Amino acid sequence: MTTASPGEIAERAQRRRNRMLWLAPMLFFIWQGAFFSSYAAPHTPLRTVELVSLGSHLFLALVLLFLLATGGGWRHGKVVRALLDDEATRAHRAQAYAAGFWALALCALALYAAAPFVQLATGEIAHILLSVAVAVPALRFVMLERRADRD
Amino acid sequence: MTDAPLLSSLKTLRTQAGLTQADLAERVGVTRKTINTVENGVFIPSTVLALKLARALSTTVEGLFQLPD
Repeated sequence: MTTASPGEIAERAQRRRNRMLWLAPMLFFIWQGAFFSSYAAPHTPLRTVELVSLGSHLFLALVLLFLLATGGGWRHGKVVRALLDDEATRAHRAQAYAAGFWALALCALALYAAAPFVQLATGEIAHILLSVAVAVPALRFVMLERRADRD
Repeated sequence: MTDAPLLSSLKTLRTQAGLTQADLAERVGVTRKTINTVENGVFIPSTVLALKLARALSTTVEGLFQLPD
């Protein structure tokens, strides 16, 4: 049995990371629909189902932000983790953050413009902003990583 | 990220040395993806990485990368 080199392990982990960062934002958008259909008229106190939904959304957001910020590969050694966060990855991350910044600014602008016409609860606004802040950089990062892999 | 055009002889020199992208990546401590992006001109490497690449291919940084005239 041959042992995989750190480079091969990092490449596999990189593909897994890309799949995760691609699928999770999709889940985020599906979640968004479910959230606004059930939470459109907020009632206090929140029902258990809403608390679980909000908690899971927050947890997934934190995991994705952590994955994006650190490069992942947490169960691997230092060498593999360093490869997963190499120079090109860091450059892609910086570009992804910039895309996230602009998406967030545009989203905040749209919410500000819509404020006199649409009544939104603080929770809903936070939900929208958090989703954009997580999903846009994640998708941009995956796009750049996939393009970098092509010959 | 391409800020200014940079001509790269990395692919030619790497193949001349009989190395794959993965081999070179391992020698300089990056992933194959990074070598690929440098070869394609998508990513301009840092000075440190350029020096490591030059050393791994027994050449100089100027031998690897040139500015267009």
